[in-house]
Amino acid sequence: MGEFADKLAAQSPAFQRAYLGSLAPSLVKSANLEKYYKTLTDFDFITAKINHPEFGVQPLIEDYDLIDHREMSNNSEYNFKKGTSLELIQGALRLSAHILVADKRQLASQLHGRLLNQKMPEEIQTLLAQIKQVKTFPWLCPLTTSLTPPGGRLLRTLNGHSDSVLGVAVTPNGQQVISASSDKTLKVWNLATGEVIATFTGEYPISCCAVAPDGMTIVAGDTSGRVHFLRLQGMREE
Amino acid sequence: MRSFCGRQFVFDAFKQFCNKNRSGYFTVVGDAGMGKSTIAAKYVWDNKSPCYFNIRSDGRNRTELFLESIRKQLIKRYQLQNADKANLADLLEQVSKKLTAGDRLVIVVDALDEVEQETGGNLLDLPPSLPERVYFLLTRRPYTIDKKRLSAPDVPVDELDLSATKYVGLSREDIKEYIQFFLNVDEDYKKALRQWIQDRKIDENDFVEQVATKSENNFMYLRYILPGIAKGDYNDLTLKQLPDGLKDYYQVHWVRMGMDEKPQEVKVFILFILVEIGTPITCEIIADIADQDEYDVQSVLEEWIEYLKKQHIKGEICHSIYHASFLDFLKAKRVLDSKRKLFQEVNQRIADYLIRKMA
Repeated sequence: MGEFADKLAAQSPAFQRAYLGSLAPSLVKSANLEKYYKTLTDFDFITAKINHPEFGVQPLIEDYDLIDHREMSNNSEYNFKKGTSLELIQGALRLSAHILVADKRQLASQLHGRLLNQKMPEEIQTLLAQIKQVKTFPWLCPLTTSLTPPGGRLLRTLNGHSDSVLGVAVTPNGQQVISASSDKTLKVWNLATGEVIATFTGEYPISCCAVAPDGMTIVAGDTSGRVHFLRLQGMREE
Repeated sequence: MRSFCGRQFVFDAFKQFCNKNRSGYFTVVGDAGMGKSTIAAKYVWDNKSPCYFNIRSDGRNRTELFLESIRKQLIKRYQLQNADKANLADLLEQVSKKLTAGDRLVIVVDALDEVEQETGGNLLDLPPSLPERVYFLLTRRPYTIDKKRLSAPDVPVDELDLSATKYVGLSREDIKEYIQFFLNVDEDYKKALRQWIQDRKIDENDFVEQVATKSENNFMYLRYILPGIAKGDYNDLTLKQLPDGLKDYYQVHWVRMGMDEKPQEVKVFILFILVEIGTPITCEIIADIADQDEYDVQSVLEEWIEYLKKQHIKGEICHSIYHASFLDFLKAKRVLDSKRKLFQEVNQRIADYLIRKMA
């Protein structure tokens, strides 16, 4: 893998941006699905995209959405098996996103610990073999599947509270979630990216919350008996 | 002029320039829609200055028309004698002699980039030297040095780039003020706009902020989008759909690029590369992907300089499409759809190139 990273590093900055940003979309738009699968199951590419300061975990996760797995599964030309592999890798990345945002060097451990399973398809087995070759720095390779694998009930972990979460609410459009915590804060999250949109710090642990049908007005109760009326303002449209 | 607001920093800078220099050329440089013409018009309105507005689509963009117009204005204003055939330098000389100590002559010329001129020399034959107390306030889009065509080695010259980083904050304030103007003052639209905001329970400040962000500090955008909203063309704040006015505006760009004329496949191809790659790239990369000579790509890029954004990133000169709404226009362009094959081929070439370079 060092070889690929060195090769990429030797290219101009504009090339690196174009490569990491455009390769997957251009492959899909020119109907090179085989190469697209290959790119997104390649640990070198995954690592390079996560490590580049202008990209990172979330843009990589979005690369896997360039083809709709469910929609395509009725198409005879679609390679269902390879599509499933992509979904598994994307799921593993999503589950590890909160860890990778803080420490990119855990990528190998995280993917290995979530994907290690003999029943996994061929592409995943190849990826695991590739991961095992990582020698650029010392890392801890899980020998059993000790981390939550993709495909289960847990999709993503939202990291940010420092104490128990006592209440949650999802906005009516399904795009944000609101959490109330013992750490005296209330947070609004972007469900698609796992990012904190806004935080409100109270004076006592916040024990419950609810959101009005407008999706912006939030009511939260704290343990002192106070009720906070909050409104989410200044949101920018995508 | 009732709808003008802001841009005070431009007038301040020009005033300083005049105070500091005995004569000179002061050029306001800005992208399409940043308000250059409005600045020029506002200055003329406030100061009753002689002026000439180049308008390509009206054919008002030729040296002889410019001279004729300025000559008439100067003769009338300064009661010049025997000046019916005088050239610009002579006219300015005559006026300069008539100016008293505290007096100045400022001539405003808008949109130098729209001038059409076969002969060489300065655009509009602007004189290489200016007599005392004579100033020109010029506006134009970003240009390459070979298209500058304004050489006046003995005259003080200065430029103000509206898109310079130090003006971004001021520009945004102006944009917000412009939106506020629509909301609070404009008799034609304020009622409908307010109703629209009220119906959707949008906070007024949020509306101003979001529309300001969307505009990317482009007044042109606002000039079409706000009436569009008032007319009910937009049902949500994503403002994704371009207003007709702006599309028409970009259509003019497209025609000017010669894209609808004879087959301009190389140009279209290069443009699609910029659209598809999305991140700023170098001329070299474009040339490699398009399989064209770098020099040829460079000349196509220069032809489009007004529509592209040129930035230095990590020591490289990179190009991208300058305005999100222009990019949207290109993406929606009919040509893109009717030539799906070309679109696919561009992506094929991009992918091949990226893989080849990393092989």
